[in-house]
Amino acid sequence: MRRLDLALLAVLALLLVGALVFVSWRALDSAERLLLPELNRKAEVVGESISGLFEEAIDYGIPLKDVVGADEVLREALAESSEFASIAVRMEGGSELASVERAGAGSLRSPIIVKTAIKQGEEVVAEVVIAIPPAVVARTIRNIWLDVAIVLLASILVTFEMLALVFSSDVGRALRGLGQRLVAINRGDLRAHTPVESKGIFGQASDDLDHRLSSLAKRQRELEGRATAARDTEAGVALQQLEAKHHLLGKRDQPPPKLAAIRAPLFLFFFAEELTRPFLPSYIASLASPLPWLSRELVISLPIVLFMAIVAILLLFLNDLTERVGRGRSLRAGAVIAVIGFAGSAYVTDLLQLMFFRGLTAVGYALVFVSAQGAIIDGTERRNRARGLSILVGAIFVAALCGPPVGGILADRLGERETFLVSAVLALLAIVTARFAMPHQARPRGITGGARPNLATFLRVISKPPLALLLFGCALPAKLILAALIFYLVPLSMADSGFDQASIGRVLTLYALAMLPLVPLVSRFSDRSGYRPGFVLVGAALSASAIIHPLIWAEPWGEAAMVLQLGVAQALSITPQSALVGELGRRYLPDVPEGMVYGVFRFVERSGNAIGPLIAAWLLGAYGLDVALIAVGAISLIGALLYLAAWTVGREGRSLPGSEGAR
Amino acid sequence: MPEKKGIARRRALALMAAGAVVLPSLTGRAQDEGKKGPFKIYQITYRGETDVERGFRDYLDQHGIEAEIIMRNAERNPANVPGFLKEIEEIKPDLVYTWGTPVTLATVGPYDDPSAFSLNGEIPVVFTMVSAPVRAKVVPDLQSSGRNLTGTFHVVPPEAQLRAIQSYRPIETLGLLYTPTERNSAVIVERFKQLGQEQGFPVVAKAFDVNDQGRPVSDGFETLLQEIKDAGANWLVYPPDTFLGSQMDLVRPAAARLKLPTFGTTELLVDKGQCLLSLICRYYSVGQLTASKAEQILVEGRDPATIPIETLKRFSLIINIPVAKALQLYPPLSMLNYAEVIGA
Amino acid sequence: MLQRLSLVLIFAIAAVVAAALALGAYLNYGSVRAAYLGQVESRLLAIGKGIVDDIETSISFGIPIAGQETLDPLLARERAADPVLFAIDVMDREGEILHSSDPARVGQVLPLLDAGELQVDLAIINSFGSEAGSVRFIADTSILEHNLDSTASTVRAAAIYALIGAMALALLAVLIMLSSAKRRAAEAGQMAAGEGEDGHGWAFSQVSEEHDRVAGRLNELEAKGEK
Repeated sequence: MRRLDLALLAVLALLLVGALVFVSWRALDSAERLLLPELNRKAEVVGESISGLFEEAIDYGIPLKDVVGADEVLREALAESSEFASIAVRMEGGSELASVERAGAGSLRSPIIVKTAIKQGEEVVAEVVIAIPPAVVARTIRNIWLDVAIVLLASILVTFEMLALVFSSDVGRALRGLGQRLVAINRGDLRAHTPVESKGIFGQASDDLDHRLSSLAKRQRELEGRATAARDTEAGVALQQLEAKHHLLGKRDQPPPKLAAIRAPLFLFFFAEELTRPFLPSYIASLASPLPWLSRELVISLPIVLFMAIVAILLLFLNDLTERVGRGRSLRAGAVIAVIGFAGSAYVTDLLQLMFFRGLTAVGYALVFVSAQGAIIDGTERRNRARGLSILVGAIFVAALCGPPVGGILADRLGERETFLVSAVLALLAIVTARFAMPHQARPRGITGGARPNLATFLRVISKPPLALLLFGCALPAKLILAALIFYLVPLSMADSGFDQASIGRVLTLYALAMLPLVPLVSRFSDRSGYRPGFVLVGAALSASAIIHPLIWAEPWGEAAMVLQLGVAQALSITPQSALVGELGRRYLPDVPEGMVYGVFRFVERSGNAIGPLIAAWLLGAYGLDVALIAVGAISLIGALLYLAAWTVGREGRSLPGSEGAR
Repeated sequence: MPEKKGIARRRALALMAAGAVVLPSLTGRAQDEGKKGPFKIYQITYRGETDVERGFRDYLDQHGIEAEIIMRNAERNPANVPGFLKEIEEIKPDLVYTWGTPVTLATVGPYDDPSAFSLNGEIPVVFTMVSAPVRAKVVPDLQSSGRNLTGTFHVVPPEAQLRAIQSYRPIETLGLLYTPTERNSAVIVERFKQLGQEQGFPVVAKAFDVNDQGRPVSDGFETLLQEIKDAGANWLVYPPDTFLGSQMDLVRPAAARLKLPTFGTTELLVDKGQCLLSLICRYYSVGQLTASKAEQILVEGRDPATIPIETLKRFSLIINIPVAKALQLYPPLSMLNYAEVIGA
Repeated sequence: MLQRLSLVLIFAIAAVVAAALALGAYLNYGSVRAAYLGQVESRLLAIGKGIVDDIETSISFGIPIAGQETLDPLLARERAADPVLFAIDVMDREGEILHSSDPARVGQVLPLLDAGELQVDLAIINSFGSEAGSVRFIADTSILEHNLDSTASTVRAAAIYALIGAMALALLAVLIMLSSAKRRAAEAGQMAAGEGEDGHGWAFSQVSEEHDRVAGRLNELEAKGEK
């Protein structure tokens, strides 16, 4: 075991899981003692209401044996109390007047029995007997476990992010760098590493190894030169073999270790924003006063739409600015603006104020995003840029996974305004950690500028039907349905039907949870097999069909299934789609820089984020939830069909939009 | 109640709804101060005071609306109404209240041929107890009268009647006794036949004989009942029928002798007909609903044309226990939760 | 140097593990609390439905809510039967309390309660299909919290034990890691210097050997060439 940092993380993860499981076990054990008497009391209440009805009938002079429709009453009561296994009415003397049993309950071993008397005057003439399976408390507790498991996962991920921060410290970085070197060297991989830039024994040891590697590389190069000069093919072949085996002249594509430190502030920042996800719509709803010309639903969507629109537009323009000011400084400035936005959102008294502060937060969000992206692009080269950007993507992703459930719980326990303050504090911490993580002023290298798409590029990109169809048929609807459902419809409709914020948060996190295992798998598989359009189409179809779940399943399971399927769908399409854009860009617009094509793509995608809640809100207000769901799904489906049509036509015409990868 | 388990749990069911209701009405209360009267209300009834007027008055009292009510009785003759209209011109009340189709039509006229009073349109009118406001052309549709008029009606839809009967005992064959010369009655009988066809049970409708003057007569009603019984009817429905109502003292014992379970459709029949089961609009509640329309006009200042014409959303289901005992036909237990029981 | 890393690591791990455990314990407690409150609530709803049915029936008889005198004793009885209840109120549309298990509350117009308090509202619908008022159950949160106390202390104790255990093991893990880190550094030093043992650094020696061989060969060739 040479990667000591990984080993330590693994051990800590195990310890943490063990400790938390222990706590959960104790908690649920005591829950049993708490819930059981409560269940008995409920059975008493239900029993009393049934016996009251029988007593009423008796009072009217209806003989007990002539009572009609008793089964129906019991069946209704059983349907309303999912905990009960059976309800029966027994006459004095033992004969059964009526009885209903939950299907599949079977015969119970030692059920908990609660009896309530039915009296005629003072005399007991019959009794209501309610049986509760002893497993019901266990079942309740199993469901709590499910709750706890999702949140445990979130808290462990947060823990890891924090430990990663430790390992981005000077010594930690050196330790990790050393580990990476040892592992690589022992595999026979002698490529050069990015310097750890650290002192101390680990840094020293790493530098020693680097020195050795570079001297070997130097000798290799020297020998190659001599072999060429001497026209010694045998030596040349031997050196080539050596190079093939050990890659002496190669460079590893890991991003600079110092760059990895940026992950912690980014995580903290995006986590702060994700915390607001489950409760933002209902928070807006609590502030929204009806406007004569706008439905309540539309009013609620306004701050969300504003946020997304500001982010979408600013991402186009901020790159140059952050480059001039310096990435570190602009990132911190963005976080400061967001801190004001979060804190302000906690104290607002009306919708306009909230929109102002959410707008500020959006500006901060865009600044942080662009600065981080810029810093990574500045700090990497082409070969390790993808890995570098995965730091940003990873931070956002883990934040999206952990933020909603934690935010939901905080909002439930502390309150919504207080949770905004927590977000402000987290953003503040992001500033502090960013101060350490990005100490040096990255030198602008002049390679990032010019990636901003102008109107002309935009028009050129969308004038190519394959690109336009991919952008407007797949990319935009994908984000549209996502934003409409996750940012707006699901939290709002669940809150409206009385679910607490914690439940909403747990449902929302299923999205990231589904993506977590799938994204890496898909990106490997879709690259290898090259069936990118296929993945994009299947993803779109799954997205569109996800809206079926809430229409057929009861809340919250319908919503949960929908969010989960949406996560699977997005996982399938997200990487192939992005790769396709590059592919199509190179093919149809070889003279346009790839960065610009991506700029157009991201802009179109992010417009979907803004349009989604707007459309959903309008439909929800005008036609209700079902129509809103179906319409949003239909948009996604129609887009996918358009793209499919283009793809099929293209295939027949031997010019497949975006299927070169298939060859 | 939905299941509450798993990743989520419902909080208080009506929490949000209740919150939404409380806030606006609190502000409404503040505005209401000092605007609750006294109002002058001119009531024209068809045959004197009924429970409707009592419900109307009680509603106003309970809502703190002061009103001076001037009551006039048309004594079953719409020709008396023009006299009242003259009086209205002198008194200038804040609101005119009309009871029943004839009085209402005499006051405001049909919507396509409004009376001079209605054309003048200065004084708002609320009508009540108009069984079919659209068919009687009082209003073009229930959403809006299109003039300075709104109101309530008191008919329980036949669909609801059938649901009530079915939940007491499923219908095998449905019997009906009615007066062919009463248009309302005939229309409802047709509707029952249609529903029987849709829901798959036979309907036996027997009409009273009509004499040479075109007036209904009760002669031979026992044969009619016997025919209904012989057709296998397990329910006998009394439609809202004036002549049938007047013959109840004859019909009631005959039906009891035949052990026919009876079902009443108006409040009048509950008592007179000793029906086993009745689903009715309580006149008292209709009066309250009418008063709520008056409140909207007088207190909230709404334009009557914007107030929809409504009937009650909830009807009274009444079980006559002694009749059930005599027939040995007891109500299903759950019905005791929502039915009124009389005679116990 | 190493000591500093150990300290940083141990402090960081202690803080993070403690925070994670605190969060985890709190979440566990929160879930149990939610399940418990859910149970209480579902029971209150069962009772509430009965009361609302009675009130609605009376309304349809023409008795306004304010006039339903039988309600006060009924509410008092239901409240007395259930220790978690603080009060049961019947309110009109405008939030004024018309009947209550506690006569002193009648006439008050309630402000909305705090979010933390458990309250269950059920609407009363009149014959015209509009809301005539509502029945509100207010659970005495102090009794509920009291019932939750034993769970809270169990969870707290478990969390403390778990923290101590996890910290001890984490400390051990850090120490083991650091001592092996020292060996790694030494190993790296040896490897860099070309003295790798036990096959470590085999790649270095293999490449060096091959380089030497090629170099020797080239030396010979070049020597020949010079001649």
